[in-house]
Amino acid sequence: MSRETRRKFLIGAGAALGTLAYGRFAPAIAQGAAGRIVVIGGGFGGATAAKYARLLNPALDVTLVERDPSYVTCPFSNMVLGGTRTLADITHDRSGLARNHGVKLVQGEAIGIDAGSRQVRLASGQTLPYDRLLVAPGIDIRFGAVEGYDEAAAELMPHAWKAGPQTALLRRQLEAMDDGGTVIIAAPANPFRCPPGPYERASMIAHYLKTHKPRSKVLILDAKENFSKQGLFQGGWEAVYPGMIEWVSGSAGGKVSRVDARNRTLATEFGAQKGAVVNFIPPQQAGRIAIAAGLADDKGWCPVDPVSFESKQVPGVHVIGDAIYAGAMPKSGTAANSQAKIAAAAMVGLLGGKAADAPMLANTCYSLVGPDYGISVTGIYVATAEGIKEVPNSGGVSPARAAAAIRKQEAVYTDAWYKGIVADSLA
Amino acid sequence: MRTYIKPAALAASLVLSASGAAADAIKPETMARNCFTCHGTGGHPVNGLAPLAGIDAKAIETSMIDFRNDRRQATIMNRIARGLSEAEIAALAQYLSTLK
Ligand SMILES: Cc1cc2nc3c(=O)[nH]c(=O)nc-3n(C[C@H](O)[C@H](O)[C@H](O)COP(=O)(O)OP(=O)(O)OC[C@H]3O[C@@H](n4cnc5c(N)ncnc54)[C@H](O)[C@@H]3O)c2cc1C
Ligand code: HEC
Repeated sequence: MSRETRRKFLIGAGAALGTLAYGRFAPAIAQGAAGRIVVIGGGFGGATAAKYARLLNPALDVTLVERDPSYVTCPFSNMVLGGTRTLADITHDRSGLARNHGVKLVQGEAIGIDAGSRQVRLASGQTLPYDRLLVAPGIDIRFGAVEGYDEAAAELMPHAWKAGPQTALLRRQLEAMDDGGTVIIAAPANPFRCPPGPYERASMIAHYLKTHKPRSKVLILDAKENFSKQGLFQGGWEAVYPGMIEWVSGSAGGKVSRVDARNRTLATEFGAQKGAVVNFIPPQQAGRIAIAAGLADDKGWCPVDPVSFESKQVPGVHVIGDAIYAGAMPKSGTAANSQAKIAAAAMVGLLGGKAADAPMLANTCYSLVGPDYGISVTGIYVATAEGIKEVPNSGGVSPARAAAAIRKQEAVYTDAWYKGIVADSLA
Repeated sequence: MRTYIKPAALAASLVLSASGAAADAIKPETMARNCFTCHGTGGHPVNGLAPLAGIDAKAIETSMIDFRNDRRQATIMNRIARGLSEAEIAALAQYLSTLK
């Protein structure tokens, strides 16, 4: 595979549009001082982009619009379910972005983007003008995509695929469950946020059950035929929770066609499955602002240029993180953090009249099978004429066979990764 | 809407390095920002991992080449180092050594 990365070929019309649009600001840009960047969404993607834009050019005016007062991370929310972390442990404030980097923080919800006059509209009625906009809204749940699963159903059968109250609700249900019950986790088809997430969740719930309700079981009903780090997870389950976790593939009856939330029952081709607790992880799409602004295609995800992360549908607007098609990269916090730095550099360059540099991107997803049992998948990526591709013969998963000490070491590094990415994104 | 050059023309116009990368295409600071997720913004870690800022270039380069060739035990750095060519590693190490 050719690893062509030169942006002058790839960036094509996007960059040209960008530079044209900024033609009338040319004198100010030449001094490297002008430019307003607005970022929508202060997650691993948006927060990192806002911070790095200011690091790359402290003269830029960078405003971050975020709906929620604090960031409850999905990473480590499975450990909250397992009882080894609390919600407080995974809740972070964004004030460091203002204090350390001079990012202007605006709490509010963006409800519209006018790409013509380059303004973001907030629910409060306020408008924010921009020269370059970055949109990083994460995912929204496609309520109604599976019959019976709407907002009300989520209060009975939590998805917990956005961390916060949903995580707390699922944890309370696990605590209230009698010993001997079955916890059902329903996992969606690709693509979805955090491919190893449902299986780490099964592991952490099994950890809680093993230590508190040892006669209970976990049943994973999967829409897929295989899943991320499958061999490592299944090997780990055998070692740590023998007989406790059962996985059913889509063709073997794992595909859920309808949910009855009141009765905690899921309909599959092979009959109904009733759980003492049901965690239904539904199909997803880009956060609704991306859809409202015309950044997403008819499947609900945003096509972007793999070099600058500029939208292929709306010029002057960049999109990163879970909301996009990112080629070989998964929807992960690490991927969002990596894309953010590329998009920030591209925006800073474009505001100064320079085309984006050739990118190098990275992903790492650690998962805990048990508190002392970590596994990982990692990858380095570059842009090619066919989109974002993994560098051949690099990356990959932890070894299939490894001493307990190695798994323990990876559990320690899971913690180091978390501290690292939270600081790199928010502090 | 977007004008991509045809892949054939692309390939012909490039000098490729061992790992298939355009030899001088990716700037070292672009590579380095991927390290900062774990090793700290600017190479100043907050989590007990090794710092990368201001470290002797030869030392980083040797570590990375050893990781790459499995001459040094690692849980993850061997897989990461294989994503960079030797030339990329040299340039990255040189850049990291200049960070304050
Ligand atoms: C259970 C679970 C475990 C996971 N574990 C890992 C892991 O170990 N490692 C890993 O790398 N990834 C993990 N992930 C995936 C990770 O959480 C996501 O990939 C990551 O959060 C994506 O970042 P983002 O910035 O795109 O979106 P988000 O983190 O969702 O951030 C989007 C932000 O935008 C805000 N927002 C949205 N719309 C608007 C609007 N209109 N106006 C204002 N603000 C808005 C939201 O409030 C939110 O703060 C996990 C996910 C889950 C569900
Ligand atoms: C996902 C987290 C992660 C990322 C990203 C990462 N590292 Fe590491 N690094 C580690 C861990 C963990 C170790 C300890 C060795 C091991 O087990 O792999 C380490 C060790 C090292 C060491 C050895 C330090 C010593 O003790 O002598 C060097 C050098 C290094 N990394 C450089 C880099 C460079 C350069 C990059 C970017 C290309 C990078 N790392 C990206 C996690 C990471």
